[in-house]
Amino acid sequence: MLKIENFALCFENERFMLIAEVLFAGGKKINLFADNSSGKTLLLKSIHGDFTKFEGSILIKEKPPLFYKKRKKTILVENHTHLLMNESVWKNIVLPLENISSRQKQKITDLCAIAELNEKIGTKINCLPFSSQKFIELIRAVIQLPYLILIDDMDNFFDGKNLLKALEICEYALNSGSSLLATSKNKMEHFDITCRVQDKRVVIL
Amino acid sequence: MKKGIFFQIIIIIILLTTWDLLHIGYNHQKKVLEANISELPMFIFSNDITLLDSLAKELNDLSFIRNIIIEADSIVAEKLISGYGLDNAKAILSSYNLPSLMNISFDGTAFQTPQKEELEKILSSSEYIELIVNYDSDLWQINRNKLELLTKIYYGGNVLLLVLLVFITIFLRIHFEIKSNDFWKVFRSSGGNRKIRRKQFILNSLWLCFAPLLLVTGLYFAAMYFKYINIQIDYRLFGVEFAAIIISILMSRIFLGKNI
Repeated sequence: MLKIENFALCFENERFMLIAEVLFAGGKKINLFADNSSGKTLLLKSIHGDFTKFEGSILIKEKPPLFYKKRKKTILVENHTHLLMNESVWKNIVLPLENISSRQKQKITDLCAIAELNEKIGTKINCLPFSSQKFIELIRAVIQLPYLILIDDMDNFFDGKNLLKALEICEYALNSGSSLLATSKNKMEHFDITCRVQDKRVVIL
Repeated sequence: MKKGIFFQIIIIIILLTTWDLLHIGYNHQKKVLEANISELPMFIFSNDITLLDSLAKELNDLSFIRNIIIEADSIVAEKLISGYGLDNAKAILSSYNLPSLMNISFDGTAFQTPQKEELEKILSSSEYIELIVNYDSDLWQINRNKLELLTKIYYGGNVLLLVLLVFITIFLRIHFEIKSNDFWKVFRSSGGNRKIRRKQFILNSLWLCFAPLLLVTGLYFAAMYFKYINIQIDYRLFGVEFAAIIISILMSRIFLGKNI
């Protein structure tokens, strides 16, 4: 699914986030934890195809991220929210879907129930707390079944209880072959693979 | 976003309607002024009817002459007697040698300054120097001046409306596209297909191109069919209106650049 080789981020002659070689299979939950300013966000953006000034290679299903430039197969859930604040929960979830099947409708309802959003489906986003907004972004990502779901600083908006709910939501996509790569400041439980940044190098624990 | 397109369509409809009203108003007023010129006859008197006949032959070839009628002196006398009830003066009138009359009516559209000069040149030639010409040149000049002013206003109005249509359409298009940038940013980051915005832009462009023009043109032809108006607009003008909308849409696409 995801193969990264000889990867390094370069900034003012400094190389960091060094990855010799990693290969993540589909359907896996991967957690990468590191301190602030270690390059976690840039790594995710590099995988997503939004940042290209890096060394080495990234391959998603044996294709570089630029291959998916027009039709993204990765979804990045960033620190800040990307939602239409004056629109309803439902409108925001179905926003990227061109056609919604009845199966998808049912699945969205089920996922909203996990996130305790099923009674707020018609509520405008600006009336909801931040964690609910992130759940909406997560459901929206999961329902599209992308190759990779990238979540930046996941522990910023999901505490222990909400993290379990978020992972339960992600199961739907994971069972369909998607992978989840979440970064955090601290190690998170319930992940299949955990990595950390040690001396600017990514180490699989 | 849909409201934005609807608003743009309404604005274009208003501008196109104004433009078509300008065409209709111009054609109507032009017809009136040209009719005034057509209804202004030229009378030429001469005692020598053969001279009038030879002049008629010469003038018949001119495109701006609509009709020439020559009335012999006897007919003129008859008309005067019956027209003014001069039966008692019949004997007196017959004793006078009345001139023959040539009545020339013009095609108001074609009878312009060069044509009038051409006619005056013919009439002032030595052959016809003895003819007595009666024509209200002042009234002709007033009507010609009005026509020239009308044409200037019409062309000025066309340019103004063309510029207004192009600029307003470009401005509104850019305004609403930039306003929708936030929506598309969220759409893209949510995983939405990046081609959708371009498709939407093309779809909206097609709406802006065809909906207002078809509606306004359809209304014009409906009004013609039901005889609310009977003024023919040159169909090429609808092409100019269509071209103006196309140009404004292409220019707004260029100005928007990578925003789309």
